[in-house]
Amino acid sequence: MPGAVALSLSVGVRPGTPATRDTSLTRWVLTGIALTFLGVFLVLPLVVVFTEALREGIGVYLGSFQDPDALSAIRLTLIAAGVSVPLNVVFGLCAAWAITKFKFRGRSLLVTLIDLPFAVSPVVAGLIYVLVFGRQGWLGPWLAEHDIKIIFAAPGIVLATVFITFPFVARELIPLMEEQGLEEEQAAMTLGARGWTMFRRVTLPNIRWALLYGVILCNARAMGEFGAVSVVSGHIRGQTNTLPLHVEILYNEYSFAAAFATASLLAILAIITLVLKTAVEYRVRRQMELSARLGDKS
Amino acid sequence: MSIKVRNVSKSFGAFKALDDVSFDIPTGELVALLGPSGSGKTTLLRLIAGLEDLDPGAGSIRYYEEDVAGQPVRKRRVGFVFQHYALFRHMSVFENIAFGLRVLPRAKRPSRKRIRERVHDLLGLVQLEGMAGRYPSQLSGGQRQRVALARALAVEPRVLLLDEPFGALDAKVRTELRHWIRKLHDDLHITSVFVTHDQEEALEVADRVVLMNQGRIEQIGSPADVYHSPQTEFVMNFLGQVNTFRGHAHGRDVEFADISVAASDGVIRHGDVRVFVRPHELEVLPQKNGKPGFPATVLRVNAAGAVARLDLQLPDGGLITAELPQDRFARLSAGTGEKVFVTPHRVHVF
Amino acid sequence: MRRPFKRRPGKIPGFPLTMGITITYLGLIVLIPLAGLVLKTAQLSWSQFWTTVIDDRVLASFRLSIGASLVAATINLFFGFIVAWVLVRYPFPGRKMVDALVDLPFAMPTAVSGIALTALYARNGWLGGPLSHVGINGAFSRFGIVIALTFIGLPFVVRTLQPALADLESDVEEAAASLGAGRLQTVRRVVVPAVLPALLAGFAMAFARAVGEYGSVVFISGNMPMKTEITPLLIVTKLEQYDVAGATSIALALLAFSFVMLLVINGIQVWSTARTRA
Repeated sequence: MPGAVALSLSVGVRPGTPATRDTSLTRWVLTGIALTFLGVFLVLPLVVVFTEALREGIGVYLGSFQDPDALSAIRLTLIAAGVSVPLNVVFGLCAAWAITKFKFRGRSLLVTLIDLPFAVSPVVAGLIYVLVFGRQGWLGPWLAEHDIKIIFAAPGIVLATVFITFPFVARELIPLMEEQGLEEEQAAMTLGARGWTMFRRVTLPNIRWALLYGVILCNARAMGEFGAVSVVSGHIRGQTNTLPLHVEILYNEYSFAAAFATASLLAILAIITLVLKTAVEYRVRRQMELSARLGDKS
Repeated sequence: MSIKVRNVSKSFGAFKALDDVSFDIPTGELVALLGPSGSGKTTLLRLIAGLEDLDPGAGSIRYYEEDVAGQPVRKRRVGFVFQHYALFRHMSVFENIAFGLRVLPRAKRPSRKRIRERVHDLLGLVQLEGMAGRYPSQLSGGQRQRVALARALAVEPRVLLLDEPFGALDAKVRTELRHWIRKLHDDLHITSVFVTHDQEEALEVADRVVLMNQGRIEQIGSPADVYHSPQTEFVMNFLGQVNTFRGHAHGRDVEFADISVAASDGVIRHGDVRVFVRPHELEVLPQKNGKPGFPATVLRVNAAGAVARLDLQLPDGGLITAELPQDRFARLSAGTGEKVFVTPHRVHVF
Repeated sequence: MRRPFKRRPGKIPGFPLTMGITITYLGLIVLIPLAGLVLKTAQLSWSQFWTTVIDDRVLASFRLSIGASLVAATINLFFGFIVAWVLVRYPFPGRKMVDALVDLPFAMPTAVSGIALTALYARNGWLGGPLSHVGINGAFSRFGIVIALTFIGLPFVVRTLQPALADLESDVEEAAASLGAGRLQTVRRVVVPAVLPALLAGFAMAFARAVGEYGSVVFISGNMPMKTEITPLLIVTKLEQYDVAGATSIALALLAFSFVMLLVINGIQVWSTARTRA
């Protein structure tokens, strides 16, 4: 499923033996190719964002954030993330619990359906909400009658963001909880813990790093989503613009410095995400390995 | 001598895996490298194969007088059978066995027809006719092991190296395969070295056993040699069960458990020593018979098996084990709690 | 009374509650809206749908989206393999940082990547300048689209390959070497076939993602109908022109494509586990 891999953890280097070790020439050449490729495709775009943002000086750079439209975009972005992350955390916990602690027919279908939003083009994701809530949509007439605005308004943006970030938390939790199995919960129950106590004291500590990992990725995507949000937003300055949409508007108005200044904010967010992700990843992997090892013994 | 290992040392970081190891592998013999885990036996095997590099200046390895230092494994023409077989799982049995022939340089590569014949010969040899089209995941452990062996033999290796060849198999298959490998070796006479931590395996299969401990060779010899004439405490302890006593040496004699007897090697010693007696080297009698011996109490009898095993307690509280043939045991007719008299007829001191 | 679950009743609580929330939420957020798309298209007549989808401009966008995505995924297949190989096999200073950087296309909002790549490949950009000297239009061309799609797809290939390469037991490569295979032969005959499922899965994921990608492409593509207009953009354009029927028809085609890719990727994963189960 496209996107699923975004959540897979990177792995450490494996030392070679003489028969599996490449000659130092090969090593140099391949490392050179890899680093050049990554340099051109990843580092340069990142650097460009900041140089373009600062092209007209630090004053203009900082000034871009004083713009009330920018501030309202920041506010809406925070709202969208603030709603979709908690919602998807609750959903992710419920889905992972139901899927990993119980066996039922259609389990693997459910897992596939949860991944669905990863497979759908962001533009299509936006469109489906237009078809439901838009003026010509299923609920359009009813919404108009009651003067409720969803499309071209904040609720639509939040909805689209929820859709796009839907699988992130669940996808992180399912493999880990699958690996951990039922035994600890069953042990807790034989010791008299039930329901919520058991979840809070046994399950949650076991999955906390994976949960955090999912939250980090979910949040990054929620704040950065562009395509889906763009379709439902209507691009009303100061009202229905998120940060990425604000970047687009500024860019299309040829306010390049301001566009890149706003973009630099998002790039910093991306860098923070990568740093946090790397830090948490190690702990997730350790938790996973620990569960796998314990599982082997039983 | 087909392979000569001379003064080889190997370190991994601060850990000294091999420390000045020298020995020869005579042509056509089946040699066992025997030792506990961490003794360096696998490292030694991998060094011979070229799967590890020799530390610079730390000894030499010669194949038929040719120094192979720096020669990569693929040039050495060794057949290596890996502990977990390392079969190529995306290839069928046929393709696995043919691999070594197919990667030969074009000039040396046999024709397709020739490769097919050779693979089928090998499949016959390892008794896997009709399995050519199977994939490794469809085979049992013993079958995988034999495919790995056929694959290694396909390149007509100068030496066959096997890393814990029976390690990953269950007990029954293990014994079968052990006999089968011995027979295969008697038919093919390829110089072979295998690594094992199982003394029974080494003693049963090998022509020659190299006993290793902590990166050093403790003793080399035929199975009977190393079993009956161990030269170090380690070998004594590692090969089979042994009773240990604290004693004192006076010249050729050692004094322990109130008796004084001659040590088996006849070496002159003085001072405190440890005395070793194997369970079957103890005679158990109903009463004193004139030979030097000491009293003991029978704690437990296990008469199931080819020999009867007696757990005995000495007057000072020490515990020993004796083994005696079933007919002797029947004559002794000693039950739990009875007093007996114990006479060692062979005593080892190092 | 029917039991709500089978085989593993245990005494673990919470199934009705968590399952209820899961299904409700999944239904409301994902399934019903998606079904809405299908129903909406079903309201169109077949010929309406068909004429929309085989319109020249739409077909050109399909060709472009699929073609450029294939090229980008192929580039990633090749370089992604090298990157994954280097990251798994060679310890070098800064490896951890480079490894973390691979996820940048996931972490960076697509709009930001879009304008950054455009600035980089535009005629006055750092790379666009030199490229224009050799007669290549970096931005506002198909070349630019491929660049953006390569950027977006890279992590898919690297991240699926890394665990596969790391899991490859070194004894398999040693076995190949002991049988006389050279390094290149070992890689070609043993390593690549062994990680083939991961390679294919990574390729398919990068390809699927690229076909649906919007944000990073719209800035650099130039958006000329028939030439550099990708399918997702065409959907947006139709929607902005209030051609909801048109947008919906194309979206359905794109959705169908996504489902097929989802099946393909799942198929590869099933095949891969079946093949390596031993």
